[in-house]
Amino acid sequence: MAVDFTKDAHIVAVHGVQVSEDADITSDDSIRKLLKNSLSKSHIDRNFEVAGFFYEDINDEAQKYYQLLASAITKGNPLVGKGLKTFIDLSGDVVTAAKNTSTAKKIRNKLRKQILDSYNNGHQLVVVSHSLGTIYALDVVNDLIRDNNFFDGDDRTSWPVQGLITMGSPLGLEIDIGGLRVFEKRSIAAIPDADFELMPWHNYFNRLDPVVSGNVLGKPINLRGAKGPVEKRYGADTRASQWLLQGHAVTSGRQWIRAHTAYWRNPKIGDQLVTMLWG
Amino acid sequence: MNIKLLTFIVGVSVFAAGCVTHYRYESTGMVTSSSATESRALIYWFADEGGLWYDKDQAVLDSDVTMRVCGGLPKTFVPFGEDPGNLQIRSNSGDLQTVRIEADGDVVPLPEPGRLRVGEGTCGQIEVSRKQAVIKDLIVSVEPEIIILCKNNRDPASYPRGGRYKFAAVTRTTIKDDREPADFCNAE
Repeated sequence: MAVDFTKDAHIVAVHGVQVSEDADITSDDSIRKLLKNSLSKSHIDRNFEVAGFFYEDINDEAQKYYQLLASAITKGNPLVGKGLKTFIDLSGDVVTAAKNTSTAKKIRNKLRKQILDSYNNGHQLVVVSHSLGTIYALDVVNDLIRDNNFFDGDDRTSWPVQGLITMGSPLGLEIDIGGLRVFEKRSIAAIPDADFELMPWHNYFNRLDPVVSGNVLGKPINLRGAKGPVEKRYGADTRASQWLLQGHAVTSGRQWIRAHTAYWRNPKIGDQLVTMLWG
Repeated sequence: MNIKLLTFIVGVSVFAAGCVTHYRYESTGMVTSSSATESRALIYWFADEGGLWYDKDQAVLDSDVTMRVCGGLPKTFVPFGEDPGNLQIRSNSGDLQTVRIEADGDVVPLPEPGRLRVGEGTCGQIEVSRKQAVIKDLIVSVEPEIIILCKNNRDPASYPRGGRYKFAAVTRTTIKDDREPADFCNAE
């Protein structure tokens, strides 16, 4: 199946670390709103569908044993119990991705299937991802490029993913905790025979975002232009593999963890999506 | 126990909020669409100013400037070249360069539009006083010029017609909640 650019564009919104359930996640609503605003403010009409990619229930299922254990240990002390369970929920999501467990594979397979469902129906698609979700998104895009069935050089109708947006990504961090490399550097898959077309990867980051800087206290990153940790770590590799990695340093009036969640309300993300899909 | 925890959570929240003021910078102008009609356009970007939670002053700008065109598709000017980088629209898939900039700043059509590799060509730039602008040049009251160099046959709304466009003086607004730029299409 080939992409038909006259059909509705599809956007998949991939969330990051969560403490809720799939049903509570509103990443798709946020992206839909940004896109609608961008189009309506410019008085233009384009057809699109935004779908969320949710994997929190898969993570929760994998952490069930630890959550039961936490309940048992903290029985009679609900506040401590709540704290411990939240900690397990959050750190468990990160460990799952870092250790590349069978749960992580399950998540990647689900995302790959969701992307290919759109592709097999002829829709162009862009992936927007946040925080930990950027790792799954990058892995799946790389995986699809390595698959010989897709990405036939400059022919963008053979591209199941037309571009990637990452927001508040920890991909630039090199953290080693007791021998576990938490965000190990990914190898970037090259698109063979692409002379004019590059895989666009737009990375949005806030200098005060602790997930981007790796500084728990949220101290700002010192920048050169728009090159943050992700651009420094992946810039050379992406250039060598027919990718276009563009960093975008943003501000939000927020600090620390609130800077990490503010991307979902940044109108520039909506404008960038419109450009990537139709511009 | 509960009160201590609550105090801690409230303290951390206040602490983390700091006193940063969020600003939106904007400038509006008229551009010519590919169908030769005049359209309103707006460029915008954001900035933070104020004190961080640990009492350090902070004044930072977004790295790039976004342009919205009434009836057209948005474009982003990103810093390119030596740090801090001149603001440019880097070429997108299917972009064709239609005009070039002469040494004296005049914009002249190319005999044949040239196909550009994604990200490797310049399809637009911002100038202040006839010099390529970096983000810090775009201060309040400056009147920027936007130069468009490309078209895209896949979607005629992709770029305004190649040329040089004078924009109005840059303004700055303090943002409380809604970060969306003004409704420039309907502006008087």
